[in-house]
Amino acid sequence: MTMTDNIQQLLAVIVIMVMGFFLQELPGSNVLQSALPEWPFLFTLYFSVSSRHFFGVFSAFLLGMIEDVFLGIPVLGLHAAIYVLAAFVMIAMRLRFKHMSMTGQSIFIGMLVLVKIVVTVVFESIWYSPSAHYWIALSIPLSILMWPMINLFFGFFFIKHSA
Amino acid sequence: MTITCLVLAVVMMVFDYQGRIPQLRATIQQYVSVPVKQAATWPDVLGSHIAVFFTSRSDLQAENAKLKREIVWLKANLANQTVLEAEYRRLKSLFESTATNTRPVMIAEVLDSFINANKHQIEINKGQLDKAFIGQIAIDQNGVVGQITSLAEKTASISLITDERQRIPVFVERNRLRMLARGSGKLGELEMEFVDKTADVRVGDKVVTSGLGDRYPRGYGIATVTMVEASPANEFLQVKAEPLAALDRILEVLLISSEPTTEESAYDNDR
Repeated sequence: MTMTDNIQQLLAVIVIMVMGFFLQELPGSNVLQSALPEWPFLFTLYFSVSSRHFFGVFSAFLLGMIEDVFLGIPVLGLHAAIYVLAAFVMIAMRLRFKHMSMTGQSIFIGMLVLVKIVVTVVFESIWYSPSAHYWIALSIPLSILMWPMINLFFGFFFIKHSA
Repeated sequence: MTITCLVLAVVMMVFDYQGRIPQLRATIQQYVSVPVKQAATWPDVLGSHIAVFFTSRSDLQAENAKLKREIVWLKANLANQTVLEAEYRRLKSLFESTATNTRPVMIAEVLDSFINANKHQIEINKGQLDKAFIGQIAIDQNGVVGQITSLAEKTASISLITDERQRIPVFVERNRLRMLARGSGKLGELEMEFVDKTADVRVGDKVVTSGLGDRYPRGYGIATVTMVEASPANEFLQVKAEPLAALDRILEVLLISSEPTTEESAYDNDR
């Protein structure tokens, strides 16, 4: 891979992550926002596996920190820690993950999203009081459904750019 | 690297809790969060523009007729207003009030909302650079929306009056009975605290800010009483009210300047 390819791919990752935050913010309602797929988290997981040379745990840390600000979390660092751990798991398991079937991959991603949601809700419960709505659970099946499409879309996109 | 990042995240949480790194959050908000959130509102704006563009002729005619009726109604009210203004000026001169200015206001757009059981907040596009300040009151065309509780350079967070942590000194407009309005954690409901069982409160009463405590200026509409209940188990009346401001639909708010007004002084004197 040449230097230009690297730069192109890095730029593409940055643009896609911005798109992830944009998609997250697109629905005005907070309830709807929480029920939809966890776009930035899904993209982070995808790039941790596909582009780990320039998208490591530190990139995940930065994105998590940005997510904390986007979601108005009372203390910075919660999502940073979650994203770092998730990226670490994905990087450590990348070879096994790549050999899984698409269904297996989607279920694994769903489990990671579930863990993320549980950690966030528990943290918020400790911090102030339990969360009000349960729509957030809907983002797990939606994230599972979106994973094959993300794979398909980014696979096509990145092949075109690295060719 | 993973452990370093995790330690960094924990350190950041501790530091942010202690308020040592407010600049970091403000920077991310200014350069990443605000532009993306503003961009996320474009499809909505575009949709409304398209809807306006394709509004049918009959709809426009109906709207035109409705607006004409409103003009007539407003003109009628204006005539009455002139009489009231004259009366007001006469009374004010009696009380030797000197000016007639209202509080200067600043319009702010709502960027995002954080509404859940724990927190009722909205984020606006005005901050320190626009001379917004902590404690500044926000209203909409109907009544008080809330107050600024956190501030960045270009944005600010407003805690809505329905937030559980909000308390507002108010009185009933009809008889000036003082009460304390408390956020219930539900978007369409306020609760009145410490209302004596003999108090004269009725469903439909309008509740306005009393100005006590010097935080909320006097005379701004807060809510309409929707429920008054006396229970033998409670020492006080259970009073609930519906906020006047459209808290679930606001897209713009008016931030009120802190400078005291002479209108309020006149109102004080009137009491």
